[in-house]
Amino acid sequence: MHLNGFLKWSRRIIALAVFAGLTYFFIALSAKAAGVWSTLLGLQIVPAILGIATGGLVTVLIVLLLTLLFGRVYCSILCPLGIYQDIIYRLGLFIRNKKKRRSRYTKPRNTLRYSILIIVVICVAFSFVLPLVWLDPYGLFGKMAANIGRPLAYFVSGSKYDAWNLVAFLVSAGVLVALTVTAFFKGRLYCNTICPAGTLLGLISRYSMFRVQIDPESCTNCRLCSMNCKSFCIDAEKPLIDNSRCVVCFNCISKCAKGSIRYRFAWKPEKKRSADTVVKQPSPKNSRRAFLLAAMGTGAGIVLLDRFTEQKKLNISKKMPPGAGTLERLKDTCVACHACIAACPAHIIKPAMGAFGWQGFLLPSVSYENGFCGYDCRKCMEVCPSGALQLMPLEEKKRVKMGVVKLMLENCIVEKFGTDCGACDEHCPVKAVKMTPREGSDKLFPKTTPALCIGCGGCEFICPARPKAIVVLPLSEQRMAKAPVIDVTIDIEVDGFGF
Amino acid sequence: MERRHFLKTAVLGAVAGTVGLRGMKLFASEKTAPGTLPGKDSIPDLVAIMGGEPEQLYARAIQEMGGMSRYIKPGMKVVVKPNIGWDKTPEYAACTNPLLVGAIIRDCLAAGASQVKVFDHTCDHWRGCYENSGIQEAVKQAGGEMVNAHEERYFRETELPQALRMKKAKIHEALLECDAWINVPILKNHGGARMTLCMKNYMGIVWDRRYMHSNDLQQCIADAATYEKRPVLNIVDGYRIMTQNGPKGRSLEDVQTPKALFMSGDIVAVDTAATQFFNQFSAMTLEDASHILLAEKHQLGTTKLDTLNIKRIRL
Repeated sequence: MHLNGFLKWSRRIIALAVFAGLTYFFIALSAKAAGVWSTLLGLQIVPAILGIATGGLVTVLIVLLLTLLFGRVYCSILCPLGIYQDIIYRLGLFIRNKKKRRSRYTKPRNTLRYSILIIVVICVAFSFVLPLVWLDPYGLFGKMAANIGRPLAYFVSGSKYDAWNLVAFLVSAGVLVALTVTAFFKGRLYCNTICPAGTLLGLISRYSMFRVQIDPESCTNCRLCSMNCKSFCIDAEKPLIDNSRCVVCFNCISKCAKGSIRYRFAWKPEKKRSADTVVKQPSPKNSRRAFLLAAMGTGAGIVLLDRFTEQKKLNISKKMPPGAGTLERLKDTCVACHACIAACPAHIIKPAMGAFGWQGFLLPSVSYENGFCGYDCRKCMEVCPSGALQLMPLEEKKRVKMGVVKLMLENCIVEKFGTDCGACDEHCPVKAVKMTPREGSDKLFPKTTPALCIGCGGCEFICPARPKAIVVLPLSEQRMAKAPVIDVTIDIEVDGFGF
Repeated sequence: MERRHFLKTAVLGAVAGTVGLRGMKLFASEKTAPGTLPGKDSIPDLVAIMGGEPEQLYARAIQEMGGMSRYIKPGMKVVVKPNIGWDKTPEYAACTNPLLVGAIIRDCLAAGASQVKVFDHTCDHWRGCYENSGIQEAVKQAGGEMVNAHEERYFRETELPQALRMKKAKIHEALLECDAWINVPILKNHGGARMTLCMKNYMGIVWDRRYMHSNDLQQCIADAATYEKRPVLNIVDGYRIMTQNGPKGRSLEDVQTPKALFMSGDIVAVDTAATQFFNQFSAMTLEDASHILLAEKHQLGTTKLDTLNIKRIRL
């Protein structure tokens, strides 16, 4: 009993700590400390799978191994959306009439959950990640926290929030309301029917080394365990636990008066329990095959739809954050968790609306109305959990070309009014725009060297002309800008003050 | 913590002051003029000093100018306004030397200032500027207070009746509320204004710099300098200077280290002196940096250095 209490409380404490940490990151964190939190973001399974080639492998192995050994602990203590639903469900228990609680076992919605998993797997295999933008629990949590929580926190503190986006807010609010209502009434319904990560881990957790199991000998079918199960996965009649849906919260164990439920080593060959606990598919083989085919067909259909509607050379209307590489790559690896949006100190990363085509809805896009990309900053790369914004040495990041400068001299203050300006030159870190003398004038005029330009947007942001005389055009394929040739000067010694 | 720090500084300052005075008396016979501190007549209009570390340069210059207590009276709320415009470390000479800023703040507190606030409306993201310039740390160490200037709400509309183009501007509240302020730019070239010195440093007390850029930059700079509360001292940091690619700079090749400092109550004179000093490294005239001439027209000071009592010192 002591051990079970310890397990339950450990689970609760770790879960709350993780949830608080992630919420803090998305809502209130200043960019300064963002790097430290990337570890917590790095433990999320879906971004890790997408970024398996770029450092996600360790996380994937850790989570899979954890699940194989102990069941779906990931869902219990690491997934922020799962923890959020637990909190809501728990609050619901305070509010709801306890007498009205009954046995809350529901049958698994296998067709639905496996269909979703199959469709997602097919899509991801064919580099179409969009379904995960809408299904990855961590990504959904990030979207809600970054688009609802963060603006709210800024509003309360009286600061301006430049990455505010109404559409993203409304979408996130819709998801939040839907999830809150389901969690309130149905506990972990989302995790066990829709969430592809939950379904995937469920496939493993039914065979995990440690499992929550009921001893049918001592069980009196009192249903106390079932009443307290937020996954609705305990059938007290049989009595059986569906371990594919169990998120090992240990709530049932402490409720059982007879001590019939235990979390125990389940790889004992002499007991044939493990086979029993697997919930048998009630449907005959034919219908199973049919649904499998249907799911695969849907997946293929979505992939084809993506392929056909995708323009070969898409002219994107906004920049991608540094390290995205190509638009293809960004779409292949980003779940739109909006960690980069939360981390960007300049608030230049915003959810894309139509800038990257319909498949790029809500992906991070960069525009320079309210700021520009810091030359010495790579916070977005540091926090990106999927490697969609590939972390690279700072010296390399300083060469990443997010866009390219375009000068429209006819709009320029110096050209129009004949007065000094030089704001663009002032802000350019690589001198891709430089104030240069012109014959017959004592003024300096901007002159661009697009090969040097990294597209940071300093010039576009500060240009005082209306319409802007200098802008950064997006590139759907980020390149490395030419390294500037440094004019070597010798130290000049002076003897006097010159006056 | 702050109060304790202040008290400590005040006590230290008092001790140092007493010791200093006694020292003066001891060696009075060696000095040309009798008395403890230089009298009103002996105080130069401008001090130009070269060949020392930032704190040394400052200490000697302020001594020549009659000590900080001439400018800062006990109980005054003081603002020290360095150039913190860029997210660059001190060796790139994009921001005022933090050692100099620290020394000035300590001196102000020793002179009895009730508080010393420091800010700049930065060009790069403010946090990076405040931190990487080393100024935030130096201010904290010295007992001053770093205040925010990255949002419009910290600025208040102010009339500039003398101005020609920019008749009103939003000026930072700390400056509006202070009793005295000290202007501490770093010496750099500038692609737009040509030179960035004391008057160009005013752009960091104003919210809307785009207005200035688009409405005759040179005139707007001179206009900003007509703001009625003039700095009690203008100190140009010439320890490291940026001679090309300014004001942000690109690499260390843009930096020279002449280890100089210029100090004056006359903003036009000190900018003129610094420009002529700069001219030795890279060609620059007052006609180029014409806001200096325009400020003279506003009668904010004189460009005729030969009419002034200038103290030139080589350490």
